[in-house]
Amino acid sequence: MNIGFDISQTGAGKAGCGYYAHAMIKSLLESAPKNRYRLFPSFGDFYCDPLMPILNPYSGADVHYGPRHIARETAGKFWTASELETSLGNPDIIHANNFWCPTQLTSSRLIYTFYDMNFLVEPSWTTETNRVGCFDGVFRSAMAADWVVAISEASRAHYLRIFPHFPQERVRVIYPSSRFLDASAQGERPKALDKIAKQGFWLNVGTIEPRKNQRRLVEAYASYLKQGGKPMPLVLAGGKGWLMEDFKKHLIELGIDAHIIMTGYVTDDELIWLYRNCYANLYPSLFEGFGLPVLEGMQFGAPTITSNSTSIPEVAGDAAILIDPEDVEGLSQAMLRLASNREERDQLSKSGVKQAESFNWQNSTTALIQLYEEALASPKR
Amino acid sequence: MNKKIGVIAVDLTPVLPGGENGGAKIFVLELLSRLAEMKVDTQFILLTQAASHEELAIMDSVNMRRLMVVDPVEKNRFQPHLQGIASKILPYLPSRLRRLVSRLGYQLNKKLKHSGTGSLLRDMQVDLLFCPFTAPSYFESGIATVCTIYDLQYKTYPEFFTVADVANRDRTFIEACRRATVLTAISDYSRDSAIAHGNLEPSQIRTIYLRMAQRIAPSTENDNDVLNRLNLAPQRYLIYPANFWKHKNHEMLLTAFAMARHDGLAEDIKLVCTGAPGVRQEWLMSAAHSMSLSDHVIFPGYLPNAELATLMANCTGVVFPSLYEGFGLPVIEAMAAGVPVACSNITSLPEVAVDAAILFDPRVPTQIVQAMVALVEDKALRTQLIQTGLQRAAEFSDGERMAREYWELFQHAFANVKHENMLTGAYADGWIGRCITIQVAPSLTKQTLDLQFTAPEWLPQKCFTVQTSQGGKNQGSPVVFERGNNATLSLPVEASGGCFEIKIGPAFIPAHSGHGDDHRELSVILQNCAVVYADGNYDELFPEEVTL
Repeated sequence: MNIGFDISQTGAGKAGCGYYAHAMIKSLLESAPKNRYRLFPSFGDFYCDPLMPILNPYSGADVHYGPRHIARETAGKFWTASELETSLGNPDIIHANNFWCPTQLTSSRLIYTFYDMNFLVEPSWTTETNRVGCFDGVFRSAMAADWVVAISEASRAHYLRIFPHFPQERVRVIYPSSRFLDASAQGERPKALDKIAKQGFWLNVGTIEPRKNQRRLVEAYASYLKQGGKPMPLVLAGGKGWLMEDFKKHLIELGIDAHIIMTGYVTDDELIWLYRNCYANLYPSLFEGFGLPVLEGMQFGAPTITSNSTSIPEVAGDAAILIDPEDVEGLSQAMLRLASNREERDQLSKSGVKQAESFNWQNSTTALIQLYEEALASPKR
Repeated sequence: MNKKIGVIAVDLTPVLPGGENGGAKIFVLELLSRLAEMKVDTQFILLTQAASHEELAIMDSVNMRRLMVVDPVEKNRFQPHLQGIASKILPYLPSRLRRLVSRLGYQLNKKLKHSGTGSLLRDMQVDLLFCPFTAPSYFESGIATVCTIYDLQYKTYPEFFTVADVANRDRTFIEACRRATVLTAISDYSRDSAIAHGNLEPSQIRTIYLRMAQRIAPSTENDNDVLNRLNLAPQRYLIYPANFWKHKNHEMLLTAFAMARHDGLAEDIKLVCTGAPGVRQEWLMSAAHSMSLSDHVIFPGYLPNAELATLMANCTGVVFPSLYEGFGLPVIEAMAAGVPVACSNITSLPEVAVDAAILFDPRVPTQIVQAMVALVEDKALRTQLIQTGLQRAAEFSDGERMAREYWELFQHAFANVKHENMLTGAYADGWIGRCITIQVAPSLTKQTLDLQFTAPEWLPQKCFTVQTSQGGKNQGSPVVFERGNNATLSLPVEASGGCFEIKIGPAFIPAHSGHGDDHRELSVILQNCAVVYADGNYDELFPEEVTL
């Protein structure tokens, strides 16, 4: 097979989408080295990483790189040209991973990775520029993609709800898996937690932003403390979001700022340590396409309290306490219960590790190769 | 100052022939007719460009006449045509103006608008310059200037414009903020954006709503030909009256319409998307096709007003999911036609529609679905929307009130002309064309005007002449200097101030002489310009501080 694969978002500082493409192509190159691969450092004109064109991040016997566009304008011109397939060498498969979607392919099978459309539920969860670009891409996929790869059943259902005309049988769920390949890693204690005992803190991972729901989390934590919950600090591990000033004010109003530890950005090793040593991982996110912090926490034995919304129940299975992310009191009750029940906590930790094992990149890659073959054997949409 | 506004120049050079200016042109022409009718003692001079000069003949009246100041087409090809027009006008102009016009025919015939060079307005004794298309291109210091701001969409959605377009619009906006005596915005939303982005004092800009006599008169006859032709049944279709610009959000509307049909919206309800044919229309048609909506979404293309009115009068409702409006005239037009409306709850639309429409977030398809279903199915709500809509439209139908509000603003501007030192005609990078104007404000002490020019070595012309004039009279003999040198002027100014015109020549166009793609007509570089007072203080007019 001649596979064209979008790696535009796999550069330094990659987020969820970039990681999915990165892990998939690494795993593909290992499992199916005989295919011919053409990797695209730029793909469309929505996402542009100026460093990507000078990198050769993946190698293999038959691995080639597509055009290296530095400017958005030249990339746009190339990817929207009508002779695109010819200039790409008529690949059997073109796999889009960065939300952008070509619409002019006549023979290559177009596979489109669909993450989620949180921006259709609450537009303020992202910037307007990002919202416009993402929706434009997803809309085009609904016109032109031959197959859609959804990263969860919930995402798949949402896609079909928004685009009821799209053939259901052509939306396939292929789960991501943990970014951490070594489940026995011990990690490294972040400096900010020097004086904190192991299993003596609550953890929340992710950028501080409305969708991640940290405002309600800290309200629930305040209520937990008020009701006599065991006084463990709450560690917020993640970059600062765009409403940070507001958030800090909120902590002071709640009178709990002294109990909150904000680590800022943490390294992967530090993150592993946090997952391994928290009392529990709290992840009351309002909307997810998948919910990687839930899976990754479980992988390292973090007992988990998380949302019953969107894709999260699929990830958590019955190995977590699920709460309504909009119900502050429900969350604080769950925390009180878990804080006073060490046995339940340890049980959750064990069942979490087991649940995490049911996700692995090998299964996902096998499913993706099978999808490529199926796509090639069936007509374009 | 109890003087009356005798002459108003209106910059209509941005007017393009036909419908290319969209709603703005219709509004401007309507406003001008009313102003001319209302103020018979005031002369209106419409500054035009060749392409639309003839078309604007409909505006001619006793106190309104046209003056073509820009011929945008290549000089050589159209020289005879231009001369033809000029010879038609010239006999009717006073001799001074005649000279001016023949000079303009020669000078401005360069596809380029000079930023306020010369003394066109002053020569015609213009009291106020009105720039209804925002850009104060003909600004002259000391003459009251009013600019209309429509919207600042390029600030919110730069991705919907080319980079050059964003730069251009930004320059226009900054110029308007800097030059206008007072600005007007077509909604509070636009006014607030202008204040925020232009760092304006709230008193510098006033909202004057578009109030236009019903533009689309509901058709009186029962001529339903257009319905038959488009295979539409009365009361069984929704309309989105909008061009296919990105911010009009058609993709989201198609998505929502397909969802609504899936959710059980009556099978026979169609969606009509008016708007001019083009690449975007083709893309949306193909999208509708792949969404299996071909039979349900109608793209009628261009429709004459009467047909559009018939279409509007017979529809179930108007759905208007635009992401950005400065006002949203189609919403008012639909209300005037007695049609229930559902529209976006962002930018100017909630301000215009208030409670007379179903409001939804145009970025959330489920909300658009609910709104469409309600428009079609909720009879009680429909009745109520039609009623409140008619009332709302009535509030916006008073064109006379709009003209009156503009007139009040003109008077306000006229009484508040800035009397400050001001330099016009220099580009931000220091290059100047054939002419710069400097207005020097009255001062308690004696003052001098100091200027320094430089002519780089590489210029195509060898030698430059600088001639200063005040009130049309040359001051002293011309200063001559060669390329590779500087020239310095120091002009004494009366305490009462004055307006100086400085002509520099010859000029060249860099792009035409192999110096990059700069199409401006340039002479030399202004290095410094300052008004120096007897006490040693000074006001530096160039280089200017960048405040925006």
